[in-house]
Amino acid sequence: MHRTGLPRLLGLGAWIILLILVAAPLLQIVVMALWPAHAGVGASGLGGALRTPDFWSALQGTLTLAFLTMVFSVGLGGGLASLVVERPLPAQWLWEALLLAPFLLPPYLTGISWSLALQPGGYCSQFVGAACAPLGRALYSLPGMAWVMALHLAPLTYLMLRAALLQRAFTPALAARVHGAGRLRTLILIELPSLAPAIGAAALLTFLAGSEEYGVPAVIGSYAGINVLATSVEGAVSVWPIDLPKAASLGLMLCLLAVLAWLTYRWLATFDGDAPHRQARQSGWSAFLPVFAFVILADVVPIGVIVATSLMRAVTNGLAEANLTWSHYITLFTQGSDGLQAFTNSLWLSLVTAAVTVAAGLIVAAALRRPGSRSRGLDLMATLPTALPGVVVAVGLVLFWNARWNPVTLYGTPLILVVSYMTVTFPYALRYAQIGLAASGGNLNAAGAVHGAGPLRRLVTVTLPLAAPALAGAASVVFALSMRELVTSVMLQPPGTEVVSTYVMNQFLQGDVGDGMAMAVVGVFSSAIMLGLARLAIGRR
Amino acid sequence: MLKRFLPVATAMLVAFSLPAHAAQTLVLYSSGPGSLAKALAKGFEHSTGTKVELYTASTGKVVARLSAEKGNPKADVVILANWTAGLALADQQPVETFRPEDIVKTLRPSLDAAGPFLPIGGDTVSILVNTKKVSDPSSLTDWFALNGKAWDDRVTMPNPLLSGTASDFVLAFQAEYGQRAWDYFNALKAEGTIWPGPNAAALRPVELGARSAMLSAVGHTSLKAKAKGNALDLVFPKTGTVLIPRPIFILKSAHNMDAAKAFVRYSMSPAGQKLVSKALLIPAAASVEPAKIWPDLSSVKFIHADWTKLAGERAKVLAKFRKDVLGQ
Amino acid sequence: MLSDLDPSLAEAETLATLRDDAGAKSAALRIRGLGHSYEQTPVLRDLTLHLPEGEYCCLLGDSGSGKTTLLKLIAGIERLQRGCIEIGGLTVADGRAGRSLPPEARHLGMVFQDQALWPHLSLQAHLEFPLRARRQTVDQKDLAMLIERMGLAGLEARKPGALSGGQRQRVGLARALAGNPKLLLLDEPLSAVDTAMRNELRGYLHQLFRELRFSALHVTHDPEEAFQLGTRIGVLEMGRLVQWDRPETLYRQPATRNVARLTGPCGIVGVDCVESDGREANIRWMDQVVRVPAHPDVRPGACSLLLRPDALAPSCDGLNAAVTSARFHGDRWLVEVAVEQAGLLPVFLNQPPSDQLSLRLVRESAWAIP
Repeated sequence: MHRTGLPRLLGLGAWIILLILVAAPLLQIVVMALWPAHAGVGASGLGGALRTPDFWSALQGTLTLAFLTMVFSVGLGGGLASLVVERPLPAQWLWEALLLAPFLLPPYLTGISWSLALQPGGYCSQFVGAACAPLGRALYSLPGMAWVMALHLAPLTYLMLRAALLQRAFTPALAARVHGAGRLRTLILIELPSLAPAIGAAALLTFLAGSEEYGVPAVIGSYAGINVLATSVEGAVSVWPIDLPKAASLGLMLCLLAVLAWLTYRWLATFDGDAPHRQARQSGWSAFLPVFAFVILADVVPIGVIVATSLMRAVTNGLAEANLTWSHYITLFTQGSDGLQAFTNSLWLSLVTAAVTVAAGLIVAAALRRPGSRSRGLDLMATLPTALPGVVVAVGLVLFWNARWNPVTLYGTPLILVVSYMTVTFPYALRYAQIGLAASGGNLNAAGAVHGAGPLRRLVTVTLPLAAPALAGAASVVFALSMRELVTSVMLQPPGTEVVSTYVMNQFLQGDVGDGMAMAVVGVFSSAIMLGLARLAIGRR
Repeated sequence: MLKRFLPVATAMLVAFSLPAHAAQTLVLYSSGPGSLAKALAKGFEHSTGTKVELYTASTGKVVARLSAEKGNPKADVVILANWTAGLALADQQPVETFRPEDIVKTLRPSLDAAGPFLPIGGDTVSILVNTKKVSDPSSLTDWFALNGKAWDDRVTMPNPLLSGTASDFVLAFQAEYGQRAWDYFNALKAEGTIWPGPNAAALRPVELGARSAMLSAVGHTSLKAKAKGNALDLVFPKTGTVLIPRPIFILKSAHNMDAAKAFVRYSMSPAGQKLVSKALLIPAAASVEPAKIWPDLSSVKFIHADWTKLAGERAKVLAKFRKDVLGQ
Repeated sequence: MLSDLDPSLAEAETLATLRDDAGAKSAALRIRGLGHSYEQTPVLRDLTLHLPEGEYCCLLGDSGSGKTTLLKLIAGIERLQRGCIEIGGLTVADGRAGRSLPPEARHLGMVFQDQALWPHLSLQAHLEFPLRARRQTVDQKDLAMLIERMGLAGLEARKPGALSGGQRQRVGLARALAGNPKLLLLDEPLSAVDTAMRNELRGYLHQLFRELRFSALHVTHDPEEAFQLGTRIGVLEMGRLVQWDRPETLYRQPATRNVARLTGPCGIVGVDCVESDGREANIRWMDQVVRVPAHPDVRPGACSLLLRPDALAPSCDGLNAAVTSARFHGDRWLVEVAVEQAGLLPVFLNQPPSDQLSLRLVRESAWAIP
């Protein structure tokens, strides 16, 4: 185990991977924001950006959106979790699947489907009539966008808070009651403090997601005249006249916000609950109505709208038999069509990303297993992409891979998309790889060594076979996330390489909505299948 | 599993990192309509065998991309939606002067503006109204008609930072009317007008009836929506609109100059120009008629615009629009 | 506890002693001056031991005494900091030279506390692993014999998940033996199983050692286990190897109070030493000076007198002792008595005790330590 070059090689590899994926783009952003002249651009950089009025309006938009997203998501997820924990519904697995399903839709799609439903002349006004107008107005506002985000994020907060609720010890509350505390007092003094870390963690994660979201503001915000930092950054990079120092400055501010939320989250998430105290709860139907309402709002409406739109000739003509058609799917799957091209592009890019990211995750995970201060720095850098907004990653990659001094200009080739997907999905691959390596942790690897196997043989006969299920899981999660990644695709898309998400967005914004939605159905469906396979692969053991 | 994946991944990495411009590949950046760029690319590929890689986006994004890649240009041929964007770009980075006499003499005179490149076609802007919401479209006799209490929260306009035609409209409009034009834009902003994006994005609320009228609606997008059977009508103000030529040009840095020139020639040929007409643009070649859905252009009044002068003001005017009207 | 000792082991031990005495110094394991710390906290200090070939040695220690760390250092799973380790005459780790062979090059077998069976490999693959890993030829007949001997026949294709707890333990042991290691390491192999199975497996290990005569270092916290299996026993205290001896020496002449306590019932009395000569000492016992066997480190001054149950015997005019508890032990009574100035002491009696006893000191059976 010692005296072989492998561990040192792993450490080196891990540093190189993270330097390229994370540090280099970030550094480029900082340099561009603070010393724009140094970067060869005669603009004012951070100071100038902070003085523009739209920075403050975008910052305000971002903060409001993030805060409302957090409030709505935690409220929604927490409410559902407490209902389901206190009184599980019969056929819990079915409800469970339905409660988690909204996470499968990327938020921009949820936004598209809600705007198709609520916009004037949309489905709601076709079915319900004028009563929908206020709803439509409500959607095109910051709370409306936050609501869309919350529908997407509720499964996450639901899972986190349900785990906390299930794991909380029941005896402290019981003890409080026995020693004279009333129901409310017990709730405030005993129950809530024990849940606080979980609630805080869920709140910060959703705040993070809300602050860095690009898709929903891009879909809904433009019609509402609302700017957030993410869309401003994208605009500063991709709308003439471009202003890279401004993009970098806004990106840096957004990044600081996100990293702050994330570091707090990391600190909170270290609180560990007790082992689960599962108490058998009697199931019943009392939670049915709220759960059912959520399922309608978060599953049935968005998915229904997308599927319906993909089957309709003209959106404004409503759901009539004469208006139904397969033509969008036929267009999509016609040989040589843009849609098919975009789909195959996404497929290949996601497959390559999955393979490379899992390999990278494995290397970093292996390097992280060595204790020491150096690996603590590595750990921080490896998990940092969780906090990096996609839009910031994209700006950093543009700056880094299109820099004049960089001999390898990936910008403008499909490879840049792979790199950006890698950065965005890396934390997931890493977490799964760590789980995978932990499977051969303990003494399993040591047993191999003691009984004569060298590092390579151990890798092949012990480590990899045991890690395989988790790695398969990692690959499919990375695949699914790459298939749906929007903002880096929009900003880094090379000529001639459209992907699923940009195709859907373009068709929604300025093309044929039906074609776009047909693609959305195909894209979501294929990701869902991959994720389902992953679950099977992991659950197999 | 990984072992099986790695060779595939490696092979693909290698495949991807091959130079993007292998021989016989042309990179075309084009403003909307995307359908025209695709049709031209396909036609050209078909007739010459040269593969065309395509990037289509709104003018604002195409220009942004070109300037982002200035140090390391990827595009060979560029098609933009408005003449001043072309001139401004030619000011920033070297553009091949390409106006062969044999092509110039076929041009429609109204589209043959001054510059180092050819127009591939032209388009115009109008006030697009939803006829279910606006009972008497003909009452809108000039551009300033969308002002007043009755229009609160009912008007859209393409964002001139994104839409090439809208930017040239703003340029010509403020040149014609001066401060009055800026007052008008501010009044529009005060009454709740939105600038949601390029033409298609601004058109959608009008198409769906959420908004009643769209200022500076580009012709081909409006006509396409109207042709689908939507209750839309184009109003050309009697005070005059602008006819905006769309440039097609070759970057000096083109990797394959011959193919690039061949592509421009193909676009200007009768076959190419028919595609332009089919995309509901006004063809640059005098011999090819605009599509039938176009109103009789001889009945529309066009104001004269000095594109060369306006191109010089472009950056300043758009910056002002961005700051004063869009508040960015 | 010594009474539980198997006669056959005593025999093996005599043989080993003979070999040792004959100067056949072939050592399965030799450790010199080993020291190890975790972030400033010393875990093992200046440890030296010599494990002769063909002996089954047990290392006793509480949790935290450093015994698992020692095994990891021997196996090479952890990096040696100070000292030197030799296995089968080959230096595998030398702290001063900074040299350390990887575990796979040390030719060991190891039974892990949690068995560390590979969930994805069959029983057969487990046993072939050490051979294939060392590129040795896999003799299916030998393996079949091992499997047979281990009582695992018919289970060759099963994976660990499909085996019972006892079977898994035996697979772990069989794997460790399959490669004919120079040294077998056992890390509390029996701590995770219930009492019945532990007894069964202990007997099994014992039997196996008698048949195969491998060299083994077995780490445990259970004195009973050590005495049942060990031909030589070491005791680790706070990272120090305080004793490394034959079982009966350990019982008769424990080096510390703790060793005494670990190895069986023992009364401990604080006494004064008048003089000592390295073998025996004169101590003050109940206002008399008595000569007793003593640890070489005993110096004049305060010391401890260790009294095994047979160090006191009934007598007519001895010390007055009040019986505080009694239980039947083997074929006699183990009685605890309270003696003035001496505290609680154990004593063997052949008949049920009355409330008061009169006892005398059996000088040769007492043992003084510093």
